[in-house]
Amino acid sequence: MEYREPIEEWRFREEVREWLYAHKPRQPRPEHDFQAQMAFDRAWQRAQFDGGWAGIAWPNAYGGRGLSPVQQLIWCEEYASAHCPRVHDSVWLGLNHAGPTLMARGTDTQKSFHLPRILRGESTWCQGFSEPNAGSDLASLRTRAVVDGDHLIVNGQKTWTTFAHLADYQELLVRTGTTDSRHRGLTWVICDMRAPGVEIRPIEALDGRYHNCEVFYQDVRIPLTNVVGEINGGWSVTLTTFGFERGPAGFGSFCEEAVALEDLVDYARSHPGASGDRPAMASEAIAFSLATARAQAQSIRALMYRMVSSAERGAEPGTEGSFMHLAHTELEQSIMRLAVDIYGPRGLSRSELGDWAFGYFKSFADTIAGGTSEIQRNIIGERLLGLPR
Amino acid sequence: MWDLVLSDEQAMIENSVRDYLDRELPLERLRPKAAPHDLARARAGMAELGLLGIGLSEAAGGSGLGLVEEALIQRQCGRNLVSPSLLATVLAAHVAFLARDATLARAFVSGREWACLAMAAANSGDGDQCPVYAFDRNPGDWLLLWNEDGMGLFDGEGFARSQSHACLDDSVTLQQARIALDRPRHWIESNQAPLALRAQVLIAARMSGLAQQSCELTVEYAKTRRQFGKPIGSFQAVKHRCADMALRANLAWQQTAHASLKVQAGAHDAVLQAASAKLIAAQAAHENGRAAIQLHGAIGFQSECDVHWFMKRAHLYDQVGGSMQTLARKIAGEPSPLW
Repeated sequence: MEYREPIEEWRFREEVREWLYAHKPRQPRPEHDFQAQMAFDRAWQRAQFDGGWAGIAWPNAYGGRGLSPVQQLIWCEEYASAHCPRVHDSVWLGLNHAGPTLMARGTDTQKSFHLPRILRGESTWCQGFSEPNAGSDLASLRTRAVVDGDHLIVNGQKTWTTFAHLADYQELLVRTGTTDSRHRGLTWVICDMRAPGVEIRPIEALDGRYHNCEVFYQDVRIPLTNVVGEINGGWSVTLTTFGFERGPAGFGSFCEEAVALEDLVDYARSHPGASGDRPAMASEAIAFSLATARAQAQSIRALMYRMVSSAERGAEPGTEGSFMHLAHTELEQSIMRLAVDIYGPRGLSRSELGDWAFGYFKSFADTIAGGTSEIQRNIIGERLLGLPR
Repeated sequence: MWDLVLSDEQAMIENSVRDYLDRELPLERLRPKAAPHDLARARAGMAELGLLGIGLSEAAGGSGLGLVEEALIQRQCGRNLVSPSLLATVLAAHVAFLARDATLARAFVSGREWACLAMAAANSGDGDQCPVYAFDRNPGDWLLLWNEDGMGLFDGEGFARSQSHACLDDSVTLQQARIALDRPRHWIESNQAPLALRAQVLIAARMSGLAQQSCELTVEYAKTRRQFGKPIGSFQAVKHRCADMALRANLAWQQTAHASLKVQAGAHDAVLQAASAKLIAAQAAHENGRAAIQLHGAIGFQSECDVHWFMKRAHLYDQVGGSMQTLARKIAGEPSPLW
């Protein structure tokens, strides 16, 4: 444990700041139209790629910069501070866990085809894990795939697939083993969302938007060359995906939460609270809640730095990610709730509440997606503390 | 970059301190029928191990390491409920050194002189004689006392006529006496050196040690105690609380380490980081202390079971160097701590 700031890191941060200041989109991200959002996000991702800022810690060979995890983190911090567009629902998944999973476990062909496309904003991804009867108990999933020559033929159903209707590819987890083979009979495969036999039905979420979809597969043919890892070896690839999803993928989100909290502190200092005349921050209860959230945010920041320090030493993200995921999603939920409270009666108007309304509703999804908070607690209890199942 | 992974040397310090404390100051020493504890031997041993001057320059008789290493040691001291006097003496050596009293600084580092933790017992004091609490004071110990303005060393003269209280944490003694707060032997102003921040970080380290040990004892118990035919740790009602304890202990320590680097580097957000460390660690120590008793069930309520000490010690450290309410007010008023 030590503090050192090599001049290159400092220069890198300056460079990121300047570039973001000059190039971040001047137009706001479209609010309601998903297709327009997707076009906006892809163009912004392409601009980052052209500027040399996509895949900072990805190898040069796949279009990345080949820099360090610390530099990747510096990018996340500055991206959040500059209030750049939040792109969680489109290019995010490919950049944060589909891409990293392929990098760790994919074949050379898979890597050289997909990784540059992800970085250039040309392909977006979704995650086909959950099913109607396999949520937290993921290893009980039943979507069936059988080998037919050099293809898998997939039949079954996935659900809660975020932005399946807008994605090009999917991290698809299917059963290739016997019905009762649990985690030993799963295969992780890349599914082209435009393949014949894939049918997508969007579902309306509690915020009135269509984030999630049901996806049906009827005799969908997927080339065996799309299998990541081995047939029936998909669980270990899934754990790799979870390692990224629950760990480093949360870093960018956490940085945005930390910035949102500071915005809220500024707001509470400069806007009247429930009393009507004094600033919201004058309330002891609000000051205490904001201070506690600030302290918690700093402790999660410290945990994130520790994880990045480990990554600098070459460590793969592991179950420690469950600490990160649990802590930052629960903090996010309390920050968003606090924002709604601080807005008082004005907070009842969605237009007055603005982005906070979107963030507040989304925060309910974040303690469920990627493994519920309860599943994270099981993982911490069983795998990190060694408690019996 | 704030590198928060232990170096080999730091891991070695941590391991050697843990081994030493588990051997010489195990929790069993606090049990009702334990053999009387040999204070002089314990003090000599800790001085010999170099625990008192690790963060002080070599010129002052220390090891020339930093606040991080001091925090590592205090965390282990928290795990084993070592007397707060060890922490007070570490800080006392800094005060003496900064006051250019090299002789006294060396005496603290070598364990020839000791200080105890002290705090104003009330906000009001008539004239120059203020009521002061001293924790675990032994005859001859100096008093270490601080506030926002600075940190000072007082000789224990006023404690010749002190009143003893039973402390809420009955593993330490509590004495009250009146002393002249305007006449310290040495006083270091906050603007000369951020000793109050150093103290906050070290107390946070103690409390993250409390939180860690509460968690470890409880997890161990949950693996062995059986009900309904299986270990209670297999029930999610217990398992999830253990996971929360582990998360709190983890975050408390990460933030303490983070704050120790920031205070040492004089970072722009050092004040917020130190206060956050103490707030987060206090919450972790309190909540884990409470959970440890609850999850042990009826045995957790008994004096022979070690877990109650962690709940009690958390109250002591919470009050010294800024309670949770005070810290929260401070944190709410600070500028943004972001990058």
